Amino acid sequence: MKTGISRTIRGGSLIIVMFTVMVCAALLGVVFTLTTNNARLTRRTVDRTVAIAYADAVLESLFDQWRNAMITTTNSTDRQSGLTTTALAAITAPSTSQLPRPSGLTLVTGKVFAANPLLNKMPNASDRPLPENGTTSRARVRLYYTGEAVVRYPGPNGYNQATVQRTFVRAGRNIFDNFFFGTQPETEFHPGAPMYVDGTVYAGGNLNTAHDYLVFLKDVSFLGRHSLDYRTNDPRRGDDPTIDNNGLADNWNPNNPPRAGVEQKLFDTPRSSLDQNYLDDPTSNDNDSNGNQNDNGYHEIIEEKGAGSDPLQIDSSTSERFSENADYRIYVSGSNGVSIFKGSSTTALSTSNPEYTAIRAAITTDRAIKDIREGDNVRVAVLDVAKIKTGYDTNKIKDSVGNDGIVLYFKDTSYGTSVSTEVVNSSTGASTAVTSSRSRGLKLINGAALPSAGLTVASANPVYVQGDYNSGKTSSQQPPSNTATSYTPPHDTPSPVVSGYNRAPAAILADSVNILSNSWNDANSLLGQSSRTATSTTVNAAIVAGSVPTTSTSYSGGVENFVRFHENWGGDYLTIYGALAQLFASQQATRPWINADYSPPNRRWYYDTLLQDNNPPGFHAARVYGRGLWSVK
Amino acid sequence: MIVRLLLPVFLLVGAATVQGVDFTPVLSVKKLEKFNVPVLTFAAGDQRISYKPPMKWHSAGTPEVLTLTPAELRGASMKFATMRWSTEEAAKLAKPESEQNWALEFLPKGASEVALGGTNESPYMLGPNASREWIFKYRLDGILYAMSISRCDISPTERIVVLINSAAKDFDNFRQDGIASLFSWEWL
Repeated sequence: MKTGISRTIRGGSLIIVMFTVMVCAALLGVVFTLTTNNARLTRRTVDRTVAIAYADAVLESLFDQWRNAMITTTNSTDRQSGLTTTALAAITAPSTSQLPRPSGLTLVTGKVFAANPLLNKMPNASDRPLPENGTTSRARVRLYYTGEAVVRYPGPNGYNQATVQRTFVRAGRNIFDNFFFGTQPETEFHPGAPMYVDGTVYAGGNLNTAHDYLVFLKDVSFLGRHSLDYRTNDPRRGDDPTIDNNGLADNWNPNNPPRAGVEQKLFDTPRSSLDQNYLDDPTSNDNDSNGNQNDNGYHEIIEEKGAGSDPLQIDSSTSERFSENADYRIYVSGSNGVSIFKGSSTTALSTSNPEYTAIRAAITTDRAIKDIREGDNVRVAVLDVAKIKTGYDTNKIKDSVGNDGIVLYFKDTSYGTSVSTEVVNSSTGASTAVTSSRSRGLKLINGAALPSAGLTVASANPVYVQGDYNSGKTSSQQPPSNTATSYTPPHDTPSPVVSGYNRAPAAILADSVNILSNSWNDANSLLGQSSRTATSTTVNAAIVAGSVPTTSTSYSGGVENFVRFHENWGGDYLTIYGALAQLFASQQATRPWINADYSPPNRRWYYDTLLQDNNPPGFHAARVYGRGLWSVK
Repeated sequence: MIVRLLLPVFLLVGAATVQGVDFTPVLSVKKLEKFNVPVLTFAAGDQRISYKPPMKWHSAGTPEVLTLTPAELRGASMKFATMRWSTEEAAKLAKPESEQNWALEFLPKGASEVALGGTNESPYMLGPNASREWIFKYRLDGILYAMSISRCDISPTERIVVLINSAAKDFDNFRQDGIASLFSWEWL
């Protein structure tokens, strides 16, 4: 009995042991299977992640190459409408020496394709991208491309593939996206009379502000630092900047103070292609460091091209020089001879040509203004803008370049020489003989109404704008901005045009731009400030000009003197609807602001939102390049 | 040396009238926006004159003569002198040659190789009053100099003479600075 019982117990134990062994084996098998699968999945995930990361790096290389190809193409159609997929075939994926490839990966393709606004590849390799015209602006058209990198990586059945795509975008950027755009290292605002700036401000360097009188009503950004003080070098730095009353709340909305921004790009000519001597702060080193007279800072846009390579020549038919974009180029010689060239012609229009006679009739030569700041009698040619408008309206003056309005380029070639000239009293006609030691200029008169297609006046010399410009003012009608008695933005926004007048796209580019009021008479320039009394004046134009940077002996005058003054404005207003671009140091009107003689206007300066969609004649859109959507298939 | 040579000339012709400009400089400031611009002022009868000399030029004056010297240009100077004037004096110099000869009198004694470099009508004006300028080159002690001599009759009885003088090699820029500064002249 006893033995039988023991045999039964032993048999049960064996079964239990065997069962346990089987369970353990099964568990081991499960664990082994799970671990193996997990390892395989992990391996696959790691491989895929590495493959995607590698593809991403390939896309970065493709982006750089694509951007370079888009920027450097010299074919004007390619520049305007974008390169075809075929034209981008030369773009190659980086070599293994440029971008080491992880083991086991194979780069199948790395290409860039033209795309449409829905980000689909264009059907044919010969297609250009389909532009996105989201606005009426010529400047803002976007072009899309798809960068694609296909990478093969190890998989369970040999290999898997990852297709990584990224959208490349070329967007148009309007030069006049801000009310104020400054590329110089220092931007200063220290007005001595109330100044309202109703538009965004962008300082491409340091920003210096410090006064109750200054009111920013829109966003202000800078690339360097913001100082609530005068800039370094300014002899007043460290003095009490007059921020009293409500403190900084007087200067800007406390919820939107000036902030560090991102770099904005207005020109296709990169800064790196310009002589750096002309881009820094001091003007003492403004001399040609490389023998190329075509790259001397952004002042080049108002100069003529000289011999040698030209960084402003973007392609065979696109230049950022206004002398190259002009419908007419007007030259005045030392002896007051006038030559007019049409478009790019190297042959002057004959004096019997109707276009010549129409333009010549608008020009009076050999007039002078005593400019106290410049310390010289500036010999000016006077351009009667009303006569230019008449010539355009009667089809004698034609938009032959760019189909974007009239661009006039003016240059008195005798700058720097001494000439005899005369100051003429516009009321009596009496003249006073004077000598102009070196200075030349262009004075715009009767510019209240412009050609409807727009007018850009560019000059290598200083420009003086006399009276309302582009406001529709007549002898019997003033724009409300000239007659407003209560004028505190943003509450008071009197119209800058007379009823029924439509502002035309307008720009003035010059070595310096001087504003003379509606009351100006050249003869009064010979008299003291008390005889040079201004009245409220409105200028509706984008203005590109230079400054004379601050030194230890003189303030630059600040943005408040970006346009220069010569009268006693008292409490009268200068209204500007437009945009200001301060891009360079003046090269002709170089005498420091401290020599000026004026009493400031109450400044009411607004960004003209019409500039968002209408670049003035002769301005190209600047192209900016960016990356868009990213996807993996 | 130039100063020493010119001094007797000024003493000879430069007696100021009681009501004329007194070139004894008084330091003052002029407001430009919120900036204080340093200027010199002079008494002129019951008026005052404001004048801003070029940057970094030293000034020293007597009632008859104001002398400005640049810190960075040794031997160069700009001088203002006031002279009694009359219609009779003006009549004597009616012919251009006569007036040019009058201007020549301001060259230092011993000047040789004198040559007229140019004549300018009103390179500056003092208020509404016209000026005339003669530019001479000459040699003195072996050095080539240039001098701008200009006159401006600020009233029928008073003539302002401005002399700008430096070595010829420095003259163009120096003269330009001097002439440019005259644009700041203002009766207050």
